[in-house]
Amino acid sequence: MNEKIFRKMQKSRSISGKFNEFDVWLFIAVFFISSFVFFISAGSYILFFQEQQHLFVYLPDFLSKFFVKPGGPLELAGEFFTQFYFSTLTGSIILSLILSLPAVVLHFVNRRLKTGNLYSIVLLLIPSLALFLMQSHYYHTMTYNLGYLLVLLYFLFASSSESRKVQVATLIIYPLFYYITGAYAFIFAGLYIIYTLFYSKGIRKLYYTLLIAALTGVLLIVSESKIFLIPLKQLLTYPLPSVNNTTHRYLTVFLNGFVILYPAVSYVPGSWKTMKPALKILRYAIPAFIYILAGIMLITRYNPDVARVINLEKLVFDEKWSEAVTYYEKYPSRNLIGQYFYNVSLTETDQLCERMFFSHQDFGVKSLFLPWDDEHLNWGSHVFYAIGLINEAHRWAYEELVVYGYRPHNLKMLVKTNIINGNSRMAKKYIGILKKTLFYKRWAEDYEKFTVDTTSIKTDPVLGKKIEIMPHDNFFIFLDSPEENLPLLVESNPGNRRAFEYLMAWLLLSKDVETAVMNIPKMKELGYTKLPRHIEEAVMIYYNSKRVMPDMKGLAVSYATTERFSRYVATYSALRQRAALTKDKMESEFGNTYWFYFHFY
Amino acid sequence: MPLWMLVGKNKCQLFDYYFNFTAQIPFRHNDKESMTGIINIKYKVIQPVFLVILLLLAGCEAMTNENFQKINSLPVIEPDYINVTIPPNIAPLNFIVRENGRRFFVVAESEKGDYKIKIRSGNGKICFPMKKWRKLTRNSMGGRITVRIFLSGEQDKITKEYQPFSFYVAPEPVDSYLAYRLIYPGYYCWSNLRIVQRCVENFSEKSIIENQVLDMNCINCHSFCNNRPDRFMVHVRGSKGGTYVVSDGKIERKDLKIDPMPGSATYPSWHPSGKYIAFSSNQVRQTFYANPSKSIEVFDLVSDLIIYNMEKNSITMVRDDDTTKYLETFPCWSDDGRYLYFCRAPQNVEEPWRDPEKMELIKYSLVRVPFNPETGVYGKTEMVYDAAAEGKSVSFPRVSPDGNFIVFTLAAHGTFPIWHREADLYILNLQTGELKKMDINSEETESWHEWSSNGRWLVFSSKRLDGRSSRPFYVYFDSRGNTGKPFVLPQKDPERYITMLESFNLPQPVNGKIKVDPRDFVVSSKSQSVRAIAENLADSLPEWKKERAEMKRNPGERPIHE
Repeated sequence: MNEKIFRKMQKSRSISGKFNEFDVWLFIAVFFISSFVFFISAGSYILFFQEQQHLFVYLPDFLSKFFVKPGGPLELAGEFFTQFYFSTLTGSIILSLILSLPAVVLHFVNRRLKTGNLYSIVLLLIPSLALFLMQSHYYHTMTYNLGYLLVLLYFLFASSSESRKVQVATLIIYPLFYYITGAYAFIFAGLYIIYTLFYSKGIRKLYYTLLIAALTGVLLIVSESKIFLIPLKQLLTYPLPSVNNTTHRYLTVFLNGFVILYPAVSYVPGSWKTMKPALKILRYAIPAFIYILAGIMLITRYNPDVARVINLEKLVFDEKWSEAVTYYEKYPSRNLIGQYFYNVSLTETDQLCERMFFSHQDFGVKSLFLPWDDEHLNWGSHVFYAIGLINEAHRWAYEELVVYGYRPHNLKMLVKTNIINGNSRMAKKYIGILKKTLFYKRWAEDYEKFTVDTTSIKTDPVLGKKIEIMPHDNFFIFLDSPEENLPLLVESNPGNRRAFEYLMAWLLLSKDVETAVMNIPKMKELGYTKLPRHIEEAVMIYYNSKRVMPDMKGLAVSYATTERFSRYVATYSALRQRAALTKDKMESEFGNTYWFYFHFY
Repeated sequence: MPLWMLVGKNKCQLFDYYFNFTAQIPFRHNDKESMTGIINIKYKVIQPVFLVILLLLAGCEAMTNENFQKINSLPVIEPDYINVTIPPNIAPLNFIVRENGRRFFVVAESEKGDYKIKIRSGNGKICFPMKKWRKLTRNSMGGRITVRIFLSGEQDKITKEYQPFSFYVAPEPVDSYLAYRLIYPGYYCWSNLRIVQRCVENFSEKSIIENQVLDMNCINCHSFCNNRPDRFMVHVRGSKGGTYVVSDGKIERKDLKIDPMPGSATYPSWHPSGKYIAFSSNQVRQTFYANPSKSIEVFDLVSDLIIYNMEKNSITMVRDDDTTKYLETFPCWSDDGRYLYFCRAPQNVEEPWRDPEKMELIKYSLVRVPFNPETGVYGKTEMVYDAAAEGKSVSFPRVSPDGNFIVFTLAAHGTFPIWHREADLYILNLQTGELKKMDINSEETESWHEWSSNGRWLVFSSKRLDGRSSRPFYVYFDSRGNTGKPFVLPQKDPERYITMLESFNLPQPVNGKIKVDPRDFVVSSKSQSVRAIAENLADSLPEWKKERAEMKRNPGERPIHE
């Protein structure tokens, strides 16, 4: 490095040098605390979501799969840490720590690069801030954070000394680094080249640049042709971030570029030759501004709807059905999955036809059964589990396992469905896998008793109920039109009220009032002593159209419903002339009725 | 702990001897240095060595102590290798002792008593050292290995001995490799698929083909010509689709779908000459049961037989004058290549996929058609076993290499027996016509069987271990048609089957190492597939088959993979 420039930098450091160390740690601490507060509160849904996407199993077969490709060990490390998201507190601490470490590492790097001015504090915070913003997307995994951290740590080693030993060691370890981190090694290679160009002397610049470039090429060729059975495209990109989100992609590109060019960016000398006391405030103001900017970006990226749906998902996976209903009615969403979970939760609490219109039903019948595709594979089993079509619930959960690997909720569903179906041996197998985890061992042990004493299944309040509503006869499941399974379920087991209500919900959402009403006589056989609210409302629509009450086999519409219907009709008639006002006005008073859905959806 | 407790009271004499021995070492009381040296040797070298020897002897002493509680029952071990018949070249039959105990001792001894292996285990896992195992099995060919299991209890004082059992070692070896596909026994979806070769003489397992380097295509239906490692084929379905035929070190990618065929070429069977491969061409569908008594039904909408001529690259459809609509599938050549056996069911059930009761009406019988390998001409179909008349359904016939027997799966109805719990293996004596149920069956599915090249071993898939995942079992078959007790393919870690979810699909014994590897298939997949030509062009798919062949699949349904 140019001696003159070096002395300038030294000088500028000495001006604010006394404060730099404190400032750095102060800002890192502020970052850590802010990150922690976010992930333990508003961002906790991210931890839950990611923890549910992976299950870390302490079994040789599971662990060995990570060692057959470059980057596999990094992914293993990422999944290892992700398991601790099971606890929001622990997960927030670990995640915030990992996100803060790049700043810490760069702080030590900066000492080597001799960037001692105020400007460098901002620079060292940028990767952590960028990662934090990227992490605010729920598909951004711990693996990505660790990848960048390892790149910086390796660079810290590489830049620790200009001695030949260190540089040679860097090149020797590089293949190992590539095996551990996969495509992140290419980011390191770029970073190292820039560092060499700016900080190495003489012919060494060329040497090391060419060597690492050549080494990278050789590693790729040898990996693809000889060592690993991985396509070249995957070798070039795995496990770099690949989130399907525009902002995330931009941030990834920015971060990659920033990290690679960091030595060049740091090389720009500081220009704080003299600092007037009034300007010293800038040493806090500039980083603070960066933080505020990041905060604004976070707020704009934050999607409360997504957060609510994932929080609802947590309640569903925990089988806290009543809480799920209450939560959704308090925080309704316009999201298909949210409305699907609402319907499933109502079914599990036997109040589907009583309350389903108490919140949004924007998707009609689509929110009753999810379409069969990779995107919805995660959740589709729950409806079948709710209505007693256990074989189909098992199939969805199993297919999810095949496509996505072990996940806590799919293994739990496989345990439950196999227990209910009487397949103790398979249930034990899945229980055996869950017992090899840190946080699901207890759940597995609780369910293990059902595989030992199978008579206890029927007496269990949850599992026993499922056995009661299972189909007695056999039929082939309709896959492309799942609603056709509902009448078959009811026919096969007349005691299955949940399937019956799901069928009625289908008819109501399809606005097939006539068929819905024609099914009311079956309700007497199913043991109903009163009509659910929305069925009453459907009867009133039928009556209003046909001017005759349907045969309800002794069941009757309550006075409250008839009275409410009279008010609905009167209000609707009065408002009909002012179409713009009608929907809002009707919604405010009658938004929780089938009539509102029938007229306005 | 006093030494006498470790070694037992008898060994105290040795201990005394030790001290006497050392006491007898002469020392030169006038030469302190020498005395010191001798003493040092005693404490630093002799003592620890002697202690180790004593401890080892202590262990042996415990095993030879005749004061055992003898249990008159066989131990519970997993996998169940009790009294199985094994080939002399099989890998060690590692197992886990599923009895309560602190420590386990196992002694495996040859019948002549000239060789034994002793193993001690603290966790119940018994793993035989490879070299010692090989020596033991070689010494026991034609005889048996006696296995004794001893347990020690909580206090390390009481030992039990279970009733000994045997490994019967057949004189004939089994083919040294086994090829199978590892796949989750699932429904529609798949992720990573691979066909591997496992050396059955040790535990090495290596991929032959992996779908992750073939655009995650489906890979299936691997089939070997006469169990040869240098002549086999595998189907790939998807963007790299085709039938990949390996022959003489080369892989050729072929397209065997020609217009008259109702579907792709599916279940293959190599003619013994290697000149022909018979396939069925199927439109396969899956449907799922609501009641837990069954899970999946795999059925053919339509299926036909074709014969592919390797030399001419041509396809002939096997046609009959019979105007009855049939579903024809699972071709299998006789040992001399003069007959083609296959399964046939009348296609007279309307929309069986709508109703389980209708599905149960589909029953396949075993038939055969004479074939002239020189001219490629086939004759009229003959009934071999009318399973339908007995209310049963045949699948997957396999003729023994000596041509005397045919083993097939018999189920209550339908095809694709791996999902039929009642499916069992039956053997038909082609000389006498005697049909009997093999006594190797279990309460769970048995199917996907194949003969070894010497006809002395039958490999088959069984779901007996957990009811869902199929595992490869070997059974010995002597010249009189008697079988030994089957055993599951041994694993280095005997717990592997307990946690493993994948199935070992379509195990095929191979009499040597397969030299091609996944990269060779990648290279081949980049070449244009060679399309076969239709030999009997005049035949086109009848209308009644076309309609069925073009039926839409269910959402997410892709070609069958298990």
